[in-house]
Amino acid sequence: MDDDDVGRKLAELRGAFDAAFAAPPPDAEVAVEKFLVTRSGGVAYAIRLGEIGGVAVDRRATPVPGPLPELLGLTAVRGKLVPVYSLSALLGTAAAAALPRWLILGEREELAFAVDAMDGYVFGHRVDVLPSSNRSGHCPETLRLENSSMGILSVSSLMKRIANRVASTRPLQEH
Amino acid sequence: MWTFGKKLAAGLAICLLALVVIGVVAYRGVESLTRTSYWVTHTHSVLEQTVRMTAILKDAESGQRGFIITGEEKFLAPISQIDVDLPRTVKELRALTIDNASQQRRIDALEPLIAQRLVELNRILNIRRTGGFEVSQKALVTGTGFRLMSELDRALGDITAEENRLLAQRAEEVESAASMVRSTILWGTILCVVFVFAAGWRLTSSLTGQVGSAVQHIQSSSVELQAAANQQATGTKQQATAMGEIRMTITELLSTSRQIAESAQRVAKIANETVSAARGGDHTVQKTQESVAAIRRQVDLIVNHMLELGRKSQQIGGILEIINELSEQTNILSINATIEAAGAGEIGRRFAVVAEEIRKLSDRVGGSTKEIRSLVDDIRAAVNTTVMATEGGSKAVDAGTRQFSEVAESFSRIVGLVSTTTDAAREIELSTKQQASAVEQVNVAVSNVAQATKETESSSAQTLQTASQLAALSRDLTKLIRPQATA
Repeated sequence: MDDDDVGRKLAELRGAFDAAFAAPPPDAEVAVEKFLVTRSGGVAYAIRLGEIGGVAVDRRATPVPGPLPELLGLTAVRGKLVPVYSLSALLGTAAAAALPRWLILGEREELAFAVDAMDGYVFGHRVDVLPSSNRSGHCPETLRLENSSMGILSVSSLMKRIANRVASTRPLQEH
Repeated sequence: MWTFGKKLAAGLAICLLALVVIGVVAYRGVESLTRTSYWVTHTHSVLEQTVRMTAILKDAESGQRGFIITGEEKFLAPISQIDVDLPRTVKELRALTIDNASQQRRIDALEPLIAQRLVELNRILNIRRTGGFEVSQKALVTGTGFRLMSELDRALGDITAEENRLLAQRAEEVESAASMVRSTILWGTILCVVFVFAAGWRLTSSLTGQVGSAVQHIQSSSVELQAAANQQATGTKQQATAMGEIRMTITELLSTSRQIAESAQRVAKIANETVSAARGGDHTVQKTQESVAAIRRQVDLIVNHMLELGRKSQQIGGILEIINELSEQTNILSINATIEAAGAGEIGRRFAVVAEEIRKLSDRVGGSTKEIRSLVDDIRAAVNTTVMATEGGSKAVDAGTRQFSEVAESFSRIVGLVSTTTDAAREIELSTKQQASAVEQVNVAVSNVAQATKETESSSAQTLQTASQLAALSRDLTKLIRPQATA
């Protein structure tokens, strides 16, 4: 990279920053939804921002015995104890291993999903959200982007499944 | 084998020895005779003193009788000094017989008798002076004078007899010594004469035999010398032919030596030029070596700068990590802010815009840090590559320095070797010149030898003639020493 490239890049950054304050707010009709793009088990997923309560990074999870093997342990987020589940293990793309770096909190911060990477978040237009071919899974919709497409992960579906599995294993353990 | 000189010297030495023996014996005999003659004279002196003492005593006796008879003092004149003469005579006698103990004892016995006789003499004389003739005559008859005179005669007779015995003994010694000298001279002379005759006969016969044998040898040698002279004449002719061939060869050798000297001179000149070139090369190599050392120092400086640059790049990487961490945390905060803004609905929409911009900014910062990290990594890789390359260059410079040292050493060796070559070429040139000079001298010497060969050839004939004359001379000598043999 030579001095001209640096100068050009600096000008672009300055221009984009200034434009952000100069341009009007985005139209509500155009940008209907925002998605967080994550990567787990080598697969990219989009998650609606409305379904999550936050993102944490580099947290330590204390392993605890539990009914589900996907449970990696407990961690503390904003003063609350939160169970951490491996997203790749829940989706069946990879077995639960060491705690990944990124945690995606549930909407009310009742649990967290550990993912391998955080690619950022994108604006999804309505025309870009398409129904998925496998509507019964945890990704009932697909987000189409400019050069790629990915499944839109349903956090509520995952939480419901976890609750069901926990509920199904508890009576047997009580016996 | 004894030479004639030795034989003659031995004969003369023996004769000389006999003469010396005879001379020594004769000398000792004469010496003995002289010594004996001295002692005979000495004995005669003792006898003379004895006779003198007897005469003094007899004179005293006669004077006494005359004075008694006549009463005249004139008869006492001969004995007026008797008191002095007698002791002096005794003293002289004692001195003459100091080496004879028996005579000394006799003189010891003689002295009191003389003293008593003098006392008796004076007593009688005094009686005559005072009492007259009759009284003195009576005193003379009754006195001890006669007895003392008899004892004195007997003592003096003993001394005289002893001296006469010594005189006879010395006469015998003289006769014995004279007889020995006579015998020695007679028999020595006879022995010398006999020896001289025997030696002369022996030398004559030996001279005749040895000279004859030598003459025969000379005769046979002269015959051999004739044969040798003939051979020498033949050999001299062959030698003259060979000398001619040698002269031709030496002339060619002289020409070759001159060519070698010229070549050696050219070699020395070229070697001198080579030494100059090698010294110039050595100087250039030394300057190059200094330049290489300067390059080496610069390379070390570059390596140090590069390592410092690597460390600085590492520090930049560390700072970038911090910036990246801040960017990432900012990104997380912006995501969470966006989520919170989304949860706030329409109220949080404007806040969501700001959060989005913060997120974008953090994304850009993250992208920039990645690019900077990539650039820093590229710089570190470039630094490492440069350091490695510089190390390689440094090693190459070291190798170059060593090679230049070897080249400089080689140049020094070349200079030394070429100097040695120059010296050797000069020595060859000098030696070849000396050789040429020596060959010229040899050429002259060979010419002289050729001339000498010709002279030898002519002298060989003369030698042959001389050998013939020698043979004739030997025959003449044989005739001289053995007439019957030649007859």
